[in-house]
Amino acid sequence: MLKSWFRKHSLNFKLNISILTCVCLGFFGLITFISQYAEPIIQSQSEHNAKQTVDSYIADITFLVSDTERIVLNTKNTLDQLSSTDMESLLVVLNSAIKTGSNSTLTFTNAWVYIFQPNNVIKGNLYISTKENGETYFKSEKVSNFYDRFPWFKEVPKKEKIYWSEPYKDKTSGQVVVTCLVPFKFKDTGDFSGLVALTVDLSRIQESINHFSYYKSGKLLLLSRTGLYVTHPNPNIALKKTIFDLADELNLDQLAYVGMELAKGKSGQIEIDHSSVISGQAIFFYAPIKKLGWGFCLVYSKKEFLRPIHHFQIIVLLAFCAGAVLLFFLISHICRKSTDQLLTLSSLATQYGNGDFTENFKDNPSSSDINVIANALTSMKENLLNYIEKERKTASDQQRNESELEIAHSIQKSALSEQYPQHEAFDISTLMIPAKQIGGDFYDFFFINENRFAFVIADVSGKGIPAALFMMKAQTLIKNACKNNRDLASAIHLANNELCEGNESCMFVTAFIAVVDLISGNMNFVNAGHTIPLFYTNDKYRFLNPQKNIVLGAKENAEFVAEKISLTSGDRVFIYTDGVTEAENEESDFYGEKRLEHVLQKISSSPTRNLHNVLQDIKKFTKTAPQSDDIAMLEFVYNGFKTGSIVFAADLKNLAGMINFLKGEMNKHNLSEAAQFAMISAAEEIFSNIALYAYKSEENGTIKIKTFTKDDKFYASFSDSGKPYNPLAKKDPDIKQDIKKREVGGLGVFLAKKLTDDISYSYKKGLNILTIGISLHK
Amino acid sequence: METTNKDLVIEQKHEGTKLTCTLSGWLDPNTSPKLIEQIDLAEIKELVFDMKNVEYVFSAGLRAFMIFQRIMDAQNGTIKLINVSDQVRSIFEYTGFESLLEPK
Repeated sequence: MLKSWFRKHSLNFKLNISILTCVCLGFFGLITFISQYAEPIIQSQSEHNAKQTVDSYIADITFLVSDTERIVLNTKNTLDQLSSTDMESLLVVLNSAIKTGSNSTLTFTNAWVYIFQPNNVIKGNLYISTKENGETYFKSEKVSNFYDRFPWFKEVPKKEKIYWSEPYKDKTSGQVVVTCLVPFKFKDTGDFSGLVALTVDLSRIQESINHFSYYKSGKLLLLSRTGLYVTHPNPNIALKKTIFDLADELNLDQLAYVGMELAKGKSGQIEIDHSSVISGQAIFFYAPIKKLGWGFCLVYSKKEFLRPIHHFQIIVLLAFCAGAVLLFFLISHICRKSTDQLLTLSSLATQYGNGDFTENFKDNPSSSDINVIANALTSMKENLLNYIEKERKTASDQQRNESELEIAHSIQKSALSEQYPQHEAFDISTLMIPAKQIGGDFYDFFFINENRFAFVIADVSGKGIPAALFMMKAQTLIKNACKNNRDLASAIHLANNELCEGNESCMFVTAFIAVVDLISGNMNFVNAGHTIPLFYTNDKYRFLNPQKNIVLGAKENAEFVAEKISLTSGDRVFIYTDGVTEAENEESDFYGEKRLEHVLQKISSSPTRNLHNVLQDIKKFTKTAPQSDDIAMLEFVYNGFKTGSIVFAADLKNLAGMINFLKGEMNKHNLSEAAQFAMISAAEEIFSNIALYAYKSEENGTIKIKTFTKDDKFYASFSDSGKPYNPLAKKDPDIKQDIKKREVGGLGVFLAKKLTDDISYSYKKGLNILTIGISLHK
Repeated sequence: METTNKDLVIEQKHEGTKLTCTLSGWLDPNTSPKLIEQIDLAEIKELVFDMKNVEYVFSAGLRAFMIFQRIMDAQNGTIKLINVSDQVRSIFEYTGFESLLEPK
């Protein structure tokens, strides 16, 4: 189905469909592969970037923390050297501590020393140096409850260890700050005397973090030790809520997980479905600030971090679409150009086919293939023109030849007798298979008169019109000569002379001519250089051994010898042309006379079937080899002339009946009036003799009369069963004697002898048989 | 085969001593005796047979003419056959009876 659908469409369409489909498949496969492959790379890249970014912030804060701790420790060490009464020195120490902060990237909001009462650490004196608008103010105050004054501390530290507060908002400046403190002891007191503290301004860091951007919407969040948001884009969250609070609010276990991980001091990256910072899927990168127990969270949109891929995909898709459109037009263009040229070539080919050679292929071939076809077409045109030129030269010749062949063929066909005569004395059948070229074989058969039948088979030398005309001439001459001459040899002699006359092209014809006397069965024939005929008699075909005569048309005044054979009922004569015996098979062997003689022995009662048997045998022999010469055959079957017989009572009153019977028989044989008169006269004498004398003393005597032909004579035999008597033995009367003296009897038999050509007597099986005969041609 | 024999028709015409008999039919063994019986040759000096309509003359006929010849000879008369067909004439010639015929 796909195949037939495909076949319906143009090359252009098919090429576009195929190529674009393949390219699309390949492209989308590639895109998918690249995307799949690129995503983890980009993800790890982004993680790496996040880590680097966060690390730099961590380093900043760690530096800040270390600096602060160092300054706090230095201050503490200085204080450790002081005595509890040296208040002036205390002030100097605090100022220098604040200033140290001012010189570095650190900004200290204040520095203070809290000296608690030895017995109650909650109460004490606070000495605080505050920085405000670049000026440093110092004041001291009494603290009745440390926790009220410093709510971000849960207890008063007593161990020699640095403590960091939770971030908080400074009351005076409103900045986010964090306080770092450490206990100290004056050299004159045994136990801890108080706490020294520095409050670090985080606003710069906060600002830096707030201005931080990562992948457009990415945010950096700073979390305190407890998970409190130190920075958050939402002011309602910053310093108010912890990550755990938000996890509860947003029902995000993953947030709580991040808080836990940070508390444990671990770093990592997770994907979160949604967050407080950005919409959609987010990626959390988190890393701890180990020095402080705080942590950073870098939150960025997954969509955004994958945006390069999407961008890449979109750009490539657009590029692909543009390319595909370009490809489509390119293919269409090439196809159209090619198919247009192919169509041009095809219409040119059609024109050439119609014989119009005026146009040429003028375009530049759009491809090498077209070039090949165009070249082929051009050379085809040239060859055709050459061929036509040649053809034109020979056309008239050929036309003439063709019409000549047709004429020759129709001449040959018209010359052949088609209707077999219906005659009880014989059957005849002919077969003619012309070879492709017109040959000069012919057969002919005709009545010379009612009882003489002639048949001819002949082979004219040469082919075409001349042969056909010569054949016509030969056929006509032979026919006429046979009809006009009683003697066959002289008929052929005349025909030959006529054929020789004006025979400049030296054509000749081999022929077998036979004339059969249907009554007597005598066959006269002349074989003028023709193939040897076969004669069937006594249940066997055998070759005749005819007298050789020269072919007709070759030698003027040539003498021809006619031979004679006598046919009896059932005899056959088979004649043929050399197309039969010289039929060749593929091995160039001839069919030959032996095969012919052999196949004829399987005789069929129908001569037509006999001829077809021979033809079948020839075909079986030649197989596929082409027929090279005409095949002509003719078979004549002699059935004999029917004889009659009748029985009369031996009485003179049957005389007229006898004569009527005899007349009928003689009419059958076309005896002349004179011959009939003679026969009737003779027969009357014999019949009367028998009627009057044969059965003198008996009654019921009979006379049997039988007629037949033999050796050119018509015979009538008279049989009686009377006493043996040979009337022929009686002496003839002397007809010279005077009538007055002559005997009255004896005239009848004498007359019979005189009137007939043959008269004989025999006595066989109790019968007197007197036979009289007369020539059929009298 | 039964066929009625051809009868012989004899027409006699007397002119003095001349008798002209016009014959029609066959002169065969059946008819010849009738011919001899029916012709009265008394006083006849010239006997003429017109053979115009005679088809066959068999030996029986010849014998009849031989008899007439002998009678006419005895009466010093003559006998003549006229209008004899060629075929019938041959019968007379074969048998030496041409003297009866009118010369050709």
